[in-house]
Amino acid sequence: MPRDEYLTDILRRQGISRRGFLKFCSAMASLMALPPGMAPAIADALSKARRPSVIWLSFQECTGCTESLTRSHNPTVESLILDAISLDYHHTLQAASGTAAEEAREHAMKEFFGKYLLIVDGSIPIKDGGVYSTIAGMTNLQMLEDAIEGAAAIVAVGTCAAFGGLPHANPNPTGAVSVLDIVKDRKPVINVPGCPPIPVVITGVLAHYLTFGTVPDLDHHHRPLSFFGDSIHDRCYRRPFYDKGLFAKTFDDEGARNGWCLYELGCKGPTTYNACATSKWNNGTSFPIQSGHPCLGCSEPDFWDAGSFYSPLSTPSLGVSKVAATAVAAGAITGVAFGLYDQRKRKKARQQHKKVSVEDLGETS
Amino acid sequence: MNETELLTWLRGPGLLIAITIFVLGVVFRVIQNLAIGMPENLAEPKGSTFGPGVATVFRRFKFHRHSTNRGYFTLIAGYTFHIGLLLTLLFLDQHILLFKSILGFGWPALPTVLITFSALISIGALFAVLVYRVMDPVRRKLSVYQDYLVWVLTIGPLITGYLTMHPIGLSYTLLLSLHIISAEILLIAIPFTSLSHMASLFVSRWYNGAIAGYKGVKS
Amino acid sequence: MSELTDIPVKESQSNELGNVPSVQVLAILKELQTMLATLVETGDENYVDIHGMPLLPGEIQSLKQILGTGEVEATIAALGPTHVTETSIPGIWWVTHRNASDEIISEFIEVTDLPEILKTQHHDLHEAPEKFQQRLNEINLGA
Repeated sequence: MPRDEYLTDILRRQGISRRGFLKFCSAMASLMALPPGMAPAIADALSKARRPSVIWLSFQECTGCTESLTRSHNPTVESLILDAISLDYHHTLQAASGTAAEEAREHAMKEFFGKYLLIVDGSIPIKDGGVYSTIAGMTNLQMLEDAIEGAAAIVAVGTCAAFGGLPHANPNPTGAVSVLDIVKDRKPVINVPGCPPIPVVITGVLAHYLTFGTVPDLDHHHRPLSFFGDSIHDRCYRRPFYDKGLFAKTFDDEGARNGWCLYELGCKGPTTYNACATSKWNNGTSFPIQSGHPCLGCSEPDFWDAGSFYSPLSTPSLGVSKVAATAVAAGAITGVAFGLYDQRKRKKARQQHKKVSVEDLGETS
Repeated sequence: MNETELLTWLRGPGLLIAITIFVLGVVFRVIQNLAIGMPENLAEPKGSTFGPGVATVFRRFKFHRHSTNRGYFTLIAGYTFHIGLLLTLLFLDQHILLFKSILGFGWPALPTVLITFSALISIGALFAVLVYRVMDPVRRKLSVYQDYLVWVLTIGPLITGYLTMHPIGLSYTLLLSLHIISAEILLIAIPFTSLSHMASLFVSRWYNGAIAGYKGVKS
Repeated sequence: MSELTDIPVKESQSNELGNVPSVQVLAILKELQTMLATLVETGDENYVDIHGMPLLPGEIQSLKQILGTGEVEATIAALGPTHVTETSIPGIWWVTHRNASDEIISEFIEVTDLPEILKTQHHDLHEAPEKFQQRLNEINLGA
């Protein structure tokens, strides 16, 4: 593949007309929550952009994130962006394998040193020297360390890469950590969490990088604000029911069938930041709450350890009843004990009470 | 520690600690008071003790016509605050879920908009009594540190609760954490302060009624 | 334990929101009104991104119904079909971009005298004379 090709040339070769390109840019503007009037500006920026090199490292993951990205129908914005970027190394998707694949990775890292975009999915196990996940005999930790220095920016795709995800959940037997835990502040890190993330969110972040060559505005968890700025609760179409206090009590009761709020069924919408309520899944088909299931909070750190998925946010995350009952018993027993002790003290005081006579008073006056 | 971990801890170990101290403390106070019993009375009983005791508990909820001799303010502000607080605490759906998970049973909720109203009038009443306490020279002189402390502890959950339902500035996760932490601090403080009146009032009213009943009078 | 098939299916009416437009729809209409006034006064164009909004199923229908259809209906074949309609309000256009699988990839209500995508693109125009000459050459050879 010629390295110096402009993105627009690539798209032209694929038979995409100028109008098609403009349509593509409008969709990208919508994706990145930019004003639609920016489409021509995006078109301009992309016309001048060259094909960037991308290295995709898959670590301790379930491949759900890669699946999410590739499970889109052709041709969409997602597939166009993927075609537009040069995927020099993707452990799962690439045609080459074995030593040839590893050579391709090293070659790309050397040729585009300082300029390639590094995408990581999966957590990095560090216990026992990181032996719990290796590729071609190399630990994930080592592979990541090698790739950091030459990267222009790092995108941690999925909750595992962003926060440690499922492997990081109690008791974390492999010592799984996030990309940010390893990279720290050596390079800019963009977290795109979700289990998996919404495909358009992944490609939206890539689109932003392609268009502007910069990292988008991030929140305190390094997540792009344009996709993770609002909570599910704030954009949920069932919000009017929450505000009125109309809740589904079980999964198939009257309230559930009327589409009432799922707070009582354990919905973590209020504490979860993602684009599910607006962008939705499968090209805008639906999202968990619309399908009647409470949000799991999968784009938040430690969501696996945040209490049951089905216990509401206002309830305890541990069992309280036994402790409370013990406290009642303990209080009652000590209460009775102290009460009886005080009773005896009072009786004794009465018995020892000395009567004062007038003469006694006279002595002291 | 990130936001999610904080919230999970507050919903977990934090809540266990607060509930243990609260329940143990309040039950201890009530049982101890009952276990001490009334001092020996050598006079002839002119009536029973138990019945009149219970009657007094309920009778004291009605205000005496002379309670308003010094003005209606404290009476109205007091009742507004207490009723507002109880409505908010006991009839918001999210709170009922909490009680259900601890007690094993729940009860019907009131519309959320009504609860917002009751929370706001409760907060308003609290501010009103504070202003009165500070501005009236007698009350100001009588007030001690604990009076102001319990005021702060009580208004904490009300204000943070309102903010959680109408988030401003901070994220919902942080606001919910603040609400839970303020409620837990309140729970821990109750057995050690005058706030324990929520349980002990029944005991003191009973004793008053029982002692009077023994003497054959209504109290 | 009840089976999935025991849950009765309830068909939702398309006008379940009634004939009164919802708050969201009214808000969008107000915004369009302001944008139209600006277009008339200063010629500045503007857009509303429908695709990015959490609208209920009936609300998009409601909007379409209220805005109505005007004189112009156009289809563009580029990366899949794009439908452009001028609504009954001149200056307010409804643009739906679909991909080759007929799924909506973006949808806008544009306030303009002509949506950008309908115009002949500058780039194409620059290459047009050469393309035309080539075509003419082909015909000459054929004749």
